[in-house]
Amino acid sequence: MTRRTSLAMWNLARWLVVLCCLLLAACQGSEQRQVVVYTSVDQVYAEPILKEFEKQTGIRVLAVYDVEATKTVGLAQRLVAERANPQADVFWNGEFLQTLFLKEQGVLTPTTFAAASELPSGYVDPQGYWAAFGGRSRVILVNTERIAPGDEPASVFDLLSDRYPAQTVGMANPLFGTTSTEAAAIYAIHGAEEARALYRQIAARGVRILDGNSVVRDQVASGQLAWGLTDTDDACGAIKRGAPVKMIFPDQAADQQGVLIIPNTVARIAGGPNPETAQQLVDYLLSAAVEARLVEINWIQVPTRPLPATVKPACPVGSEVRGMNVGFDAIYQSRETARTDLQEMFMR
Amino acid sequence: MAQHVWSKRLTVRLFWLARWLLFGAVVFSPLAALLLASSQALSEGQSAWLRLMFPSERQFTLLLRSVGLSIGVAVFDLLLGILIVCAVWRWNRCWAWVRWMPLALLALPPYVHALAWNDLLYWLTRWTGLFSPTGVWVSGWVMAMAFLPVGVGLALIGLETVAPVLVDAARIHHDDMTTLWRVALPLAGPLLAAGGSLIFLLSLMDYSVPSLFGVNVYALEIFAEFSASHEPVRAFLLATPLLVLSAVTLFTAQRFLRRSAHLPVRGGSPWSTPPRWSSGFTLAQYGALAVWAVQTLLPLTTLARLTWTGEGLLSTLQPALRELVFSFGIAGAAALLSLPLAWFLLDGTGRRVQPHALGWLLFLPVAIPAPLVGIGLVTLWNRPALNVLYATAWMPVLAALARFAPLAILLTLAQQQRVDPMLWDAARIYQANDRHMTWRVRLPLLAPGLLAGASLVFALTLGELGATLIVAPPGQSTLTLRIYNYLHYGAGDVVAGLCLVVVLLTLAAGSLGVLALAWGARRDAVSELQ
Amino acid sequence: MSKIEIRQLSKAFGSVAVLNGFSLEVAVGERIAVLGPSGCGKTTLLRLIAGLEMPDAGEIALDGKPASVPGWVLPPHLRNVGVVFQSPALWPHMTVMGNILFGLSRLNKSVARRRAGDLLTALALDGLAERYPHQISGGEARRVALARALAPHPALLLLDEPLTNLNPELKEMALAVLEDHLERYKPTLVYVTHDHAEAHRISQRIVTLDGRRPG
Repeated sequence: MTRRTSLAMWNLARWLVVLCCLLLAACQGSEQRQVVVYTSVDQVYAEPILKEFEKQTGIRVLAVYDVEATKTVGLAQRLVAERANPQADVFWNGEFLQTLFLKEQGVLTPTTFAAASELPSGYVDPQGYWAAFGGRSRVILVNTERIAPGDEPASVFDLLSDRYPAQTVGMANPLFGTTSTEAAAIYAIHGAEEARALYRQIAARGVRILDGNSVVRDQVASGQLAWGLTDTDDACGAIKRGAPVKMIFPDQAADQQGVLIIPNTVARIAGGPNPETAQQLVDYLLSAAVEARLVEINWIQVPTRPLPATVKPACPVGSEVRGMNVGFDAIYQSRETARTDLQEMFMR
Repeated sequence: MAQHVWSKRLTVRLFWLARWLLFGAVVFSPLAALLLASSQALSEGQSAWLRLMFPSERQFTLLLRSVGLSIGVAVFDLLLGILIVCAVWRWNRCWAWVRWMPLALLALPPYVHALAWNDLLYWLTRWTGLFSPTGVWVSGWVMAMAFLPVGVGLALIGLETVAPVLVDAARIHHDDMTTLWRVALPLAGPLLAAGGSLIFLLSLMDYSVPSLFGVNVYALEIFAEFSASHEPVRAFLLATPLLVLSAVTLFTAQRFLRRSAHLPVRGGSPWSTPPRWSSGFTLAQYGALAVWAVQTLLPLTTLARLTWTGEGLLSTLQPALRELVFSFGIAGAAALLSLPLAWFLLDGTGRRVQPHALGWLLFLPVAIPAPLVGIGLVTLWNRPALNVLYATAWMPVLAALARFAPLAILLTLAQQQRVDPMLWDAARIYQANDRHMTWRVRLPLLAPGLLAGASLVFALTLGELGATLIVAPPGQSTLTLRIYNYLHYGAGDVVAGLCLVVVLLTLAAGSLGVLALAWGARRDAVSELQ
Repeated sequence: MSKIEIRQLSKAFGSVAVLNGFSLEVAVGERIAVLGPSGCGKTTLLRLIAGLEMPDAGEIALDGKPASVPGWVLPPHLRNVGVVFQSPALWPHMTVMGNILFGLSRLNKSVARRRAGDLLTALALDGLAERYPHQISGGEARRVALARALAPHPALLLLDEPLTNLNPELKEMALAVLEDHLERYKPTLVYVTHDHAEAHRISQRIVTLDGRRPG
């Protein structure tokens, strides 16, 4: 073997040794009990809840958080991609459409939920794949310095009203997030033709289409918009920070469609690496105590269970909110039709 | 003897194969996984999806808008970069520090730039009524501001390729403006064009800034499709026009690089005495410097103001300390590992490697949308046999390398083009052995390009979101993820504090690189002129 | 015509003093050769006279007018100077003809082309006008650099080892062309070389820089 050849082999061997050391370093396992949760709930809200679970049970929680900026292509895609070799145990979703999608893809596994009897009808999957609890609602956020009392909008359909110039009202892009869920719900309730007409008029009118609910919140709070459609957690955040805004639940009259309520959903992942601790986490998340805590820290504004008197909601919503009279499955089935139409109208 | 030669050839060939396999595994594996998934889907009866490769009329409009916007951003940033470099040449010969500082701002996600500008534009609209806070022009302006550090940095690198003696020879006959137009700019042209291509690609792939200003672009269409269908293959097929455009851009850029000047360049201003510009050109430079100052100061002052009025920097930092360490660890690892990748690819037989006609293929992975890179990596690595790497911190590093390592190679290749070919030949004649040549000649000559490439990888990795989200190990998160989460939550002061920390730490890292380069330049400063 | 007056010229690069209190006078039309060991400052001297470097101390005057003082230099293109550098320094994006014509832009195009063509013929570079620098040999590049310096008929010629790498026949031919040019147009010449015979042939006076004290 020549000197040059031996040098070359030595170099290659050296790199391989380094690589192996690095890999071995990554291999270090832990003896501690743990559970892996993927959650689309904002880290600001989910993190303290999960840390509390760690403290109570001694089970280490390894969380993966989602971000709105990725337009909902994050965690759900990851779970599907990992289906053959699941890494997650629990999926805690801030809404329900992605959960239904994952059930359809065979990513979830059925289980029993200890809190099932406490939850409203329709909030537990008949096959046991998921359970829903307290959530947010769609809401109209109004800038009180730009809209006088009595002149406030009361319906989603006020996006078409001539009382409000188009450039002063806004909503998030209806292709993504809870705005797309709301669109699917409107399609489910009113039928494709009527819903199509509504959104066509919104697009034609030039209503401001913004990058997300948080952007709507910020622009209403700063006065760039007079009012906009967003979620209660965003609206409440602005109120809490002292912005001159007010929250209105749209379409509450008896002859109107009601407002979309978006519950949290929890499910177990099929084949997850820690089934026992997964069940513990699922039951913990579905507990009344956690729901109350989430009300206190402003993630949930529309609880599914009565709150103890000691619980102080971060954002009291006043009297009963009238939700849309449409099931989750119906909304899920309408989403494809809605998406196809909305893409043509709004992606121009 | 014949056997000896044969075994040597075999070793060289094996090494060549190992290098390309490593590069392929790291950079091309997500693309390969997506192609495999696509062919599987098509063979399973989804051939109707093929029509996604051909844009509809509506999608074609989006594509044209995206291309127009990106070309505008690239041209504008390059022009500003050239003006700024010309201004800096006039004032200060000790501008090594200035060279790398702009890169620090690359670590700030474009979205943060956009939010700072959005606030300013809102106030300008209110006071003057002259500006619209939405639309293509505003979106283009903000994207140009977000990528201006790249423009300035690449203009610096490109204009440095001009040999001082060629500028001197021109100054004998003509004034400095003529010398600039007829000698310096044409000679720097290939690298400037390659830099412009890079900015074009980066802005073509970005949807976050246009989306904030109400502009729909083709990249957003891809995400809309992905979000709705949950099919990575459909999103990948829809991304085909972008991939084709990127391939054309990269092929063109690569051809420019082949025509780069061959005279040796030590780096630094090619003007032996400060140039004298015409008054109109000087005025344009002042304008460019003003824009640069605003582009730098606006996000920094917004961040500083929000941090000052908020909880305070330390209390912001404390809960994010783990993400901070994790983010810098990943960025550092990606930057360091991009070095041997660039090194191995450019290390032929010790000879200076000419860019191959098909070399543009190397850079194609840059054009793949970030979440698809993540999905590709998951598809490949999430197998029981490879679990030792999956769900570890190495996955975000691999994601960053897949996305950004080609950029490090591009910059190192540019550096190699600047080195006199005779220097390689002389080293091969006089070397004691391979290691001697590597450590004493090749590494020092390529060091500026390697450092520039690693710095770019570091800065871009810090701000990376789409792929990291898909592959970050459970229990670990990056600073960018936390920043975006807090952005959504509305904690502007926390976001500002974290962004400020990112910028300051990147500036510190960049300063170290600047010191190293300045030391190297001082060491060689005298010899040529005596 | 160009008279050169150099008074107490000093130039350092970093901590290395290359010229220290150097003084010299060159009369109009005079031809001097500059000799000295490597690193003694010959090239730096030429660059300072050309206006490509700024002195740290001292002064250079051309025809009695200040041309270089600490903090200010008269731009090179206003000095009516022709320079051959140590390397040919041909612009790679211009042809041979383009390189020569670059300095003749003030002339009528046909006059410029004719003058350039005559020089190419004189220096045995016929047929190379449309070639690019990377398509010619090192010796041919040197002769093109010389043609470029002579073509504008400058009042001051600064030649830094212009005939290096030329074989004896070509060197003889180039020297003949140079002598003919010097005879006809009588520019002031500062000629840097290591070749004593060449220095004696081309110049009227020899200046030696020893790198330690003023010449």
